Amino acid sequence: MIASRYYLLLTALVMLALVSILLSLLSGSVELPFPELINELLQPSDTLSGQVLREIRLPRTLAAFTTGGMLALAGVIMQVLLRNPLADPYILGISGGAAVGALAAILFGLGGWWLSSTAFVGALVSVLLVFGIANKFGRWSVTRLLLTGVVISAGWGAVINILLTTSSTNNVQSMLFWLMGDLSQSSVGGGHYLLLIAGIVFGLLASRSLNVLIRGELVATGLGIEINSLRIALYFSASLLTATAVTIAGSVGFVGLVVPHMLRLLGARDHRILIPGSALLGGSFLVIADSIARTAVAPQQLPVGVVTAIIGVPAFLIILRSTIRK
Amino acid sequence: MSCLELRSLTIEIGNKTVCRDLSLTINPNERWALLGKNGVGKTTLLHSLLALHQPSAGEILVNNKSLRNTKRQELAKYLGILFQEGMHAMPSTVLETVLIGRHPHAHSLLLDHPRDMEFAQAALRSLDLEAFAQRQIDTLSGGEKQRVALAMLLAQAPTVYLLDEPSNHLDLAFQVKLLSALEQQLHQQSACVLMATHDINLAARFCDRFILLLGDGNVVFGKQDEVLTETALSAAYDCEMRKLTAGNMHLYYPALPTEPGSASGSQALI
Repeated sequence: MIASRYYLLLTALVMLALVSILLSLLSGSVELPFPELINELLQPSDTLSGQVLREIRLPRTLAAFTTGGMLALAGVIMQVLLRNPLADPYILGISGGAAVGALAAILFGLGGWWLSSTAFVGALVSVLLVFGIANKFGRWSVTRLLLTGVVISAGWGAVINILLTTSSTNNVQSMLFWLMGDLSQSSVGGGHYLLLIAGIVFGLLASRSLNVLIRGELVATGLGIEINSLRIALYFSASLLTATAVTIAGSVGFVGLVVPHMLRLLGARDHRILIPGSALLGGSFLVIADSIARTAVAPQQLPVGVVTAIIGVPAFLIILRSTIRK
Repeated sequence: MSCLELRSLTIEIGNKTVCRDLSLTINPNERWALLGKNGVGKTTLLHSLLALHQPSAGEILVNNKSLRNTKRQELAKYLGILFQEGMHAMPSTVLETVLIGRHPHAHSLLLDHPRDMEFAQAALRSLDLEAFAQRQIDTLSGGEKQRVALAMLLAQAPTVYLLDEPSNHLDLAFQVKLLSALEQQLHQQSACVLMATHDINLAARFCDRFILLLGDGNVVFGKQDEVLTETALSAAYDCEMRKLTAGNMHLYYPALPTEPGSASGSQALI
């Protein structure tokens, strides 16, 4: 049921998104006060602060928002698909496949485009592998999918460890940053925004069905849902979002698991709200985390994946505690 | 116009035959009971009517249309089912859950129709759940959860009600309440009911037609005096069954091995 308090929640999330993006643009080692920021956004100039804003902060902020939105969206979808509150975008091994691809690229001294491409290919290999094995006997059960994903994930983990232990110290540093999730090399373009928007639109189109599917496969079938085609669509859309997010920023943890639960705890259980809400909150969350990651111990940078956990854990526990009494 | 028609239906599961060459017609306003011992295939038969299980032979017609040519969403508007198992993984309130029953009738992608809320409220009322509307499902007792599941089905308002053990966890007062709520729906919309149950007496009170699965693929069906005989029931349940008649009411109960006159009992005495 969409009631007025849901609109209120969505409005609050939009405001949060705008505020977090502004804060991110304001923070950094080069001073850029608010009036000047607005000026620069409206009338670009060639000053140092203008260049920092346009070439460093803005792209990175947008990359953080897009990645966070994709991960949170993929998290919601995975949690419904697997009917498991512990599911996150990485549970079926997508990040493992991407990591092996990315680490291999680092091992061979390749960066930039190569790194993203190998990561993406690794993710897709994993997606197809899990789907192929779980789907082998026609009907795929949630349990089989989950077990296949977890086992494939463990396999990738072993390969990652081999790559880490046999690489030079220099490479290991870059590899660890990638594994923890890092936005310092990230940039996003039109395709990425389009994918995020397409993900939200797909999620909204499926949202009524998601509300039903989460109550069980039999119930959903009884209420007229073709669960097989729905599940395949969910699997591939969540996978594509995750693979893309991982390609942009490495395996940033925690966003995809916790953001949907934060919203559920705040009362947004209807997927018509949860889908757009997660994209907004996930984006804002990663933007804030990344602002902290690049300013907390400046000039050193922290991997953003560490910060998501450090601020996410207490934030989640506070919400959990304040709602548990009801 | 029939609600549901089975034509030479054979259903098998594993190496067990649930029914062989079964043909019967369920008409509006009829109340059918599906009886048989544990594991005989009552649930499988219900699932076949929902295309969740493929029959080995024969045809099922729902609303005079072959089940195979019916889209699942169309089917859900006409035929609703109460499953035997629970369904609650994520937190949710009673009202939210009952509203889910309106899914097949959703008109708009995102917006709710006020009528959906009316159906849900009426369903809550008829099972005395109004006070529970905002309660979390996981704080309810087994019987209360069963009432929520039933309310969800009432909100779906199908023409064919398939019920798998509807009286599970329900105390006697709510069994009566459930039956009168169903009764009302039958009258209002010429619906029909097919309920699988292990409670022969509940079935005998409420239903006017009976299907008895014998376990070997043979099926007896028809009116009470044709189906609910001591001989047929004893064969179906592998246990000596008795019938007690008082006025126009019949009570069915199993004979204890020690009771005189029971076959196994007399053996025990020897």
